[in-house]
Amino acid sequence: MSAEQAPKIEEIQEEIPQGAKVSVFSKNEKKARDAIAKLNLRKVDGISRVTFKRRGNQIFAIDSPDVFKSAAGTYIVFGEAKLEDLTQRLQEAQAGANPAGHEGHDHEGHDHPAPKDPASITADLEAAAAKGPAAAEEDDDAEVDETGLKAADIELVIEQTGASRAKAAKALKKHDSDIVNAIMELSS
Amino acid sequence: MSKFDAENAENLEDIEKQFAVKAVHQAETYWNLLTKIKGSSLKLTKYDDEIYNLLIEKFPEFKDPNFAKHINEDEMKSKVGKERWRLFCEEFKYIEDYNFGTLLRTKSDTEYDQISTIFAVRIQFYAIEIVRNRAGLNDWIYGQQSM
Repeated sequence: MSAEQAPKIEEIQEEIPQGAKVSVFSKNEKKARDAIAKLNLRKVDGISRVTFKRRGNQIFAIDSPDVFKSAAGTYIVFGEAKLEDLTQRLQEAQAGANPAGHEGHDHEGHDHPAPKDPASITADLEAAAAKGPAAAEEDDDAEVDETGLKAADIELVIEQTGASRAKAAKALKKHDSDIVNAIMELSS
Repeated sequence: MSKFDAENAENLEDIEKQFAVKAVHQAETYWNLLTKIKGSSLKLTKYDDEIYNLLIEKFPEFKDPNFAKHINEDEMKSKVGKERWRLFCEEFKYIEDYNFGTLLRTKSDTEYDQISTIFAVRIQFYAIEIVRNRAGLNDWIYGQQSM
C-alpha cells in the first residue's frame, strides 16, 4: 500500500512549491503541509491577504498567503500572521496615509524577488484592477435577466448613475427594486 | 480561478465607518433623485403600498398628509412613540436595511439641513416619505439643485 501511495504524494507536493519559494519551513510546519497535501486540496490563486478579526479591533493579517480549498469548502491558509491594530490603522488612515496603496507597495516590494510565476502575476493584475477607479466587475456586460424589474426603474437608475443597463438591472435585483439603494451601490 | 477579492475583503475599518457614511450617502442619493423625478411619481420600494397601508392602520393621523409635513421628533421618540414605531418597524423585517439608521427631514418643505434633519430608521423614513411623496409634498424639490 505504501509503495503505491508514495509516488502519488510526491506528485501532489509538486503542485505546492509556490509555498516553498522563499521561506524555510519548520519541521512541524513541513509535516503539517505534507499531511494537508494528502487531503486532495486545490490551490486558490489571486489572494494577496487574509485577515482574521479578533475582539477589540485587532486583526491577524497574513500577507501573500498560500490558500488551499478542500472539496468540502474549507479553506486552509499558510503564512505568517502579523497582529495589526485596527484602531491604529484607522488613525493612520485619518492622518492622510492610504493604507490600501501602502500595502500594495509592500507586497510588491519584498515578496517577489524571483521572476514572477503566473500565479503571482495574476494576483498582481487582479490587485491592480481592484484598485483602479473604474474597476471592471466580472460579467459586466453579460445579459442580465430583467424579469420582475420595471423598465422605468432601470432607466432611472441608468440616468442617475450612468451605469450600464446590465449593472443597473443587477443592482435593482440585488436591492429588491429599491431605487435609492441601487443607485447608492452604483455611485459609491 | 477563484473570485476572491482580497482588496475589497480587507477594508474592515471602512465597514465600521460605513454606518455614518451610508446614512449621508443615502440622504444625498434620495435628495438627488427627487431633484430629477417628482416625488409624486416616485416609488421607493416594491412594498410602498404595504408600508403605507400599515402606517395608516397603526398611525391613523397620517391619513392627513399634513401630519407628515412636520414631524414632531419629541413625540416620535417619546416612550410611547418609540414603542408604537418599534412595533410598526418590526412588521417589515423582510425589507432590506429595515432598521438601518437613516436621516429624515422633520419638515417636508426644507432640505436636509442641520436643524431639521433627524435620525430615524429606514422604515420610518420610507413610511413618512411615502406619505409625503404621495401627497406631492416633495414635488417642490424637482428641479432644485442637487447635493
